[in-house]
Amino acid sequence: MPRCRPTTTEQSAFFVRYLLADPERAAAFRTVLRGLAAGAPYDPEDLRAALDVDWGALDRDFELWVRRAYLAPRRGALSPGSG
Amino acid sequence: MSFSPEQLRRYGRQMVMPELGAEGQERLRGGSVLVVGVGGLGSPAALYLAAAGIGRLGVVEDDRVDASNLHRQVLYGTADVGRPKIEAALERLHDLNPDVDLVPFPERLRADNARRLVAGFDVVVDGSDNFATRYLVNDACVLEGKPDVFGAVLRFEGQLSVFWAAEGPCYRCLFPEPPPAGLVPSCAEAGVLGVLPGVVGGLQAAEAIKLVTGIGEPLTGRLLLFDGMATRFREVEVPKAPTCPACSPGAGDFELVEYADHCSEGGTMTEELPLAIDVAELARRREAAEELVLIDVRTPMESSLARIEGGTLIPLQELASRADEIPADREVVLYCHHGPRSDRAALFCANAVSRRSLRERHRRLEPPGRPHGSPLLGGAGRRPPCRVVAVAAAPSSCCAVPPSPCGAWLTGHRLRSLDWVARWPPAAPWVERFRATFGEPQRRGPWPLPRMDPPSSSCRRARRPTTPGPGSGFAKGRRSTGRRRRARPSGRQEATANLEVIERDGEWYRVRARGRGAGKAWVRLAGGGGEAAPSPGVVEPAAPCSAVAPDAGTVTAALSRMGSAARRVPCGGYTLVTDAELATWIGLCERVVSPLDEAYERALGVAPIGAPAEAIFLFADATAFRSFAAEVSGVRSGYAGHARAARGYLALPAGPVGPTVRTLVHELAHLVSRRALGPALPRWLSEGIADLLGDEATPAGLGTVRGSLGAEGEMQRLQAAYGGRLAGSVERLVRLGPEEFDAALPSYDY
Repeated sequence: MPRCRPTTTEQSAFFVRYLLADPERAAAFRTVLRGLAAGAPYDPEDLRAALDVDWGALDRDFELWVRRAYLAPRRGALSPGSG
Repeated sequence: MSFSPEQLRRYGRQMVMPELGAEGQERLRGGSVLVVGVGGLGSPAALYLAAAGIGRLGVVEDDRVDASNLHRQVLYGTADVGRPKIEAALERLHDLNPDVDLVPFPERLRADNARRLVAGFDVVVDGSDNFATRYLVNDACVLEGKPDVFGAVLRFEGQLSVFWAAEGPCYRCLFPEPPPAGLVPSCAEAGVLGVLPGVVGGLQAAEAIKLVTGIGEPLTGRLLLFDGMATRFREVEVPKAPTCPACSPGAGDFELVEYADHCSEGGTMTEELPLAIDVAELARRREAAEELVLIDVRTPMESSLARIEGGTLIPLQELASRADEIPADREVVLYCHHGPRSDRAALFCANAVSRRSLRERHRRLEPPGRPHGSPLLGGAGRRPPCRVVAVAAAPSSCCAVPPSPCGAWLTGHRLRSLDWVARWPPAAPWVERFRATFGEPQRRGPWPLPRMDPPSSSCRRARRPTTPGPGSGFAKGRRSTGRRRRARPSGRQEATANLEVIERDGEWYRVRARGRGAGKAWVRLAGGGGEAAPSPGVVEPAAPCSAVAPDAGTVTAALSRMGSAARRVPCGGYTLVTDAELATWIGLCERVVSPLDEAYERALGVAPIGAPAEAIFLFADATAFRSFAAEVSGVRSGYAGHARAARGYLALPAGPVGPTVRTLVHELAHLVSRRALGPALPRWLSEGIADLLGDEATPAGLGTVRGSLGAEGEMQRLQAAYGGRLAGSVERLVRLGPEEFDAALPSYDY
């Protein structure tokens, strides 16, 4: 059993966003989706092949995207004020 | 525009802001605000308004300070307990700012004084704690053209808006009628974090100040939701209702009435179940040594604070699973703190037996005063000190209502965990019932493979059951260098490979074929489902899942649970079947369903396939919902205990708007996903799409889910996961099957 328990839901949601965020990735992803809609059985390899990237590179790129898009340090935080 | 040096020192910190300045302070000095109720919400609102230098501050209040008020009503101190609130409040406010002209109204807002009181002020801050006053404030504000700064709190949640008929919607645009009695618990029942009224009341003061000074953007047409547990603010757009009974053009002028006589507060369940006895009678009967079985349906925490000697604690939530502890041959007295829970407990028991026979076995015992219902989200409300509801027998058929979490487990994907579920005592009877109905989950084959057509393009387009023919519906080439090659059917052949059934959902089976033509697919075996094992027959390849309307049995089960109040309402492409009286819900569903389809196609580039024949069953009564969910078969679990999404329909209890709306959107997104992609959709992708659509659908009027996805909590978990290198790799994620994905899901609690 893969150890994804703490983040499965978040990761799946953000992975879909990641796939759609880039036009090329989105086109590949939509191709896979159309295949599913047409009745093709789901196979993770289809997605990987459509993206034309190996799993390790996909991991690294996805993590980088998440960090850039969502996990950037906050700026302009409110000062605590003088009360 | 002149201010004394003392005033400049007092207000300098806010006058220095250019948005307000001396001009804004002058407007404050010339402005007036009426605070209706100085309880949890009114206390901070009045304090901040006075501190800000409002010129005239009216206060409507006729209650006295109680010790239970002090944790949240910060206007009062311990020494004020027992004093009239208005007296203590005016002392404190005058001490805070002697410049303010304080106008006391030591009376209750009524139909005959509401317009007069409201008319004398620029802005009204609603700090009331009951529906009657809340609707009266709204209606008086509509008639007098005044803005109503609305606030409400319960447990850890708060709501805020500005209702101003001249500029936007009024309260009745959002909630045309009071909710049914008992639907909304009071703060006294459900509790409230003391600081919550401070947060919301402070925001009410801010809105009032903005309205008086004309700065900023008032919260008109928007409902602000605050989740204190997650420290999260969200917004819901509230449009002006064209059919609003108060502020629409067709409403015209109207007379205020005493809403206490009409609101659901007076319509408690007790009127349907006239079995109440009062505390004095209970004491007398106990002194007379009558044999009564006392059942305490409060929480263990409440019981630890105070209890009646000899009573047995069965919290209301556990009543269904522990009904066998209630003797059927003795008179039973159910009691709680304020009444509604014992009402519900009594109604729960009585629902399962003939009302007539129940009446025959009981004397009618009236409560000591007017029946009370649930007050509005707000303060604790005023109630009789205690009330007892008695029923004579607890029928064994009470068990027909299951404990809520079980249904999802027993009817969902986790079939193989039946034994694990059965170890939980309340669930054990339901495991047995499930097994009696559906048999043991079939985890392993082989199952006979019928003859079938290959998933050719023609049959995909046709999307209809295929006739027996050549080839294998699961034909799939071996992988090479990561790319898949589809096998072509090679002439007519009898498919004889064994299939391993790895998942079942009603008539649909997910099967795995090994060897040549290996692969997985969802198939539907005609004649399958129910108690009998599916027989070989016509197999529909894993084709797009056309919309499946709920079968007649499902609809009948829902309608029978809803009773005569059930209605069918067209909702976009769906049908809403509901007994909920709240037109808001119907409008809400209409706003959800159509934009969801559009958002799906826009986001994913795949149009939903098939007619949207799904139905939404929305139950006003949570007990009826649970009963329905337990009765119907083929229910596919949604999330922990709250929603039940099944192929073809969605069933939900009409609960608090915020979390239920999110559930509704999320589950509808799953339905749309399945309609477009068929049951072959991997679970992780379904989850991702549902979350994405929840976000995507926001601009179309689903403001309720704004910020709930990709928001702070999810961010923190994701950040912690990546920071600690705990996140699973993408490859592992996308290889998760439904069972593994479900097992890896964190516990959802909407």
